[in-house]
Amino acid sequence: MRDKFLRLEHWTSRMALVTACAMLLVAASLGMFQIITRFVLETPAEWTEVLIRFSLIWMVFLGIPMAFRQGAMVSVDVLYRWSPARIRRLLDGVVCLAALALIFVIIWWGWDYTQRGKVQTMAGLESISMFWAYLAMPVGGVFSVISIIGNLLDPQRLELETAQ
Amino acid sequence: MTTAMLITMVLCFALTVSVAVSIGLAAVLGIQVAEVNMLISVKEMFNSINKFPLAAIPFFILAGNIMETGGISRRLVDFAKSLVGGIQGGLPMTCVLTCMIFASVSGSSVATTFAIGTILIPALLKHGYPTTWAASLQATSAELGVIIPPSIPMILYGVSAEVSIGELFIAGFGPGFFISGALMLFVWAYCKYKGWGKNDGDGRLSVGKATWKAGWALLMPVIILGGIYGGVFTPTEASAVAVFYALIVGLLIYREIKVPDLYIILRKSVLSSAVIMFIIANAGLFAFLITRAGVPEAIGIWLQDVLKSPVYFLLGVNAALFIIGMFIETGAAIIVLAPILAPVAMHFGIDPVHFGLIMVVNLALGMITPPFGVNLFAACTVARISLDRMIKDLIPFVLVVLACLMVISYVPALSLTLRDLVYAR
Repeated sequence: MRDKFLRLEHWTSRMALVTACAMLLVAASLGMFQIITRFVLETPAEWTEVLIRFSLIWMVFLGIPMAFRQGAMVSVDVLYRWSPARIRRLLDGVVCLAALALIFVIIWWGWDYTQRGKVQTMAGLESISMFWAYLAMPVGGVFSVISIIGNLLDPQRLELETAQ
Repeated sequence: MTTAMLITMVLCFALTVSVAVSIGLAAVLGIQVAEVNMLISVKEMFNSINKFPLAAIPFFILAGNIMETGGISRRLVDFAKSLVGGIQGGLPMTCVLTCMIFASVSGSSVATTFAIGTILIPALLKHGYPTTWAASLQATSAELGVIIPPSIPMILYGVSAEVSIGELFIAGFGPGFFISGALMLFVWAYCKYKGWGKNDGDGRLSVGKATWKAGWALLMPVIILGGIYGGVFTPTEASAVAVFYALIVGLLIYREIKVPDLYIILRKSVLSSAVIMFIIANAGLFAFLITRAGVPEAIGIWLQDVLKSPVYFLLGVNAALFIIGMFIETGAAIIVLAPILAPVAMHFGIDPVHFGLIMVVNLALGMITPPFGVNLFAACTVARISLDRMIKDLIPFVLVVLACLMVISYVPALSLTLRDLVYAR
């Protein structure tokens, strides 16, 4: 059961991360494109800025599952480092529950907000509804739940990889 | 509501719940207590990261990672060594100078610690410097990463206090050079006193050769900053240019990045950016709620009553941020505190750009103060020692930066002269 879940989790976290990488690539290319259109074509495209913002939001919400999975979320871990193994296990549980609670809010209300977004259109890119931008929150949330449980079953702590 | 939020946040921090989740949960609880519609939580989270200037954060992180893999750190070390490496104590001075130059390419101090530390800490050990001292030196110098532009904390301050990011960037040079100078002077004097590093100059390249080799890397800050101040592009667009410049140099000119490396670089950048942007989303929601409850005004009025002069205000801010920085991540502290403190600073007649520099330098100090100092963790990892052994050697370094902070706080000209020169119209 545990192994089966971890295999599923491995697959979902990876898929989310690969998509997030693609989003970053798209955003960076659009940034370059924006400069080119302004200087070379001299007709600045208004929609690049909108798309950059939204692809980065998708990147964030699809990137956090793997960050949860690897325990890469920055935390103040004084207590953790000073605790014996049994207390550490308990802390792992608390951390997992806290993350699940927040993610639950993001999924539940995020989905509500996403549906309301159907009637809004993106400013600067009127043909697309805000539904597609807000959707990043519940979708990223669902991936995060799987990854958070995955981290509880098979803990990793790679905070320094991501700290600024 | 505010009390409930603060208690939840501190409790979560103590239980090692991650910074982003702690702040987010505290905010969610605050909404529940105040009986506001919970829809606000996701709405404000989305709005906090739906800002174009913030796009510079993932882009600068990506550019920094490409540069790191692309073999520029080694060239910059050689370049710095050719400049200052010749005298006694030249190797630690090289470390400070390299960090300073690397800082103008990267916006992160942890990346600076890893990139420069993996080259210079082993070199320092080989020349007989104690491990703990080398690690302390590296952690402290890497702080320059966030003070010299581009800088992620400055982008965050600019967005949350509504100050021009371009002005903040240029104001970072004065304090950045000042701290580098002070650190170099300190390590030079310390090495003289201890009798360390008499043969530091061994095997260094001539200035001309090293400059030639590091040329493409040295050109990057020129393009980015020249572009911003020449009015060619915005700081966000500059960050996109940085990505492609770094890519071209790494792939085609130095040829040290192979195509499979690109996925590793992208993946690392996505994780770093997602973590920091998720903190921003939650801190943004938190800041929105306390602003809505009128907390910033209340604190502001109280501060103006208690601390009657700008001098006392700055002293209070310095002390408070020093302690906050020990425990809380720099980005989160800036997003929550900048909207509270910047208006009070302006009331006292302090320039918001100058105040931003004070906040960034002050909180950057938190990166090298235990228990939560990201640079210390990074330096410990590179030097393979435990944190507690570093503390004795770290104290003098912290004192040097603290002294610099005092000067930066009370001498606005240090930050503002360059800004006024560039932005004078």
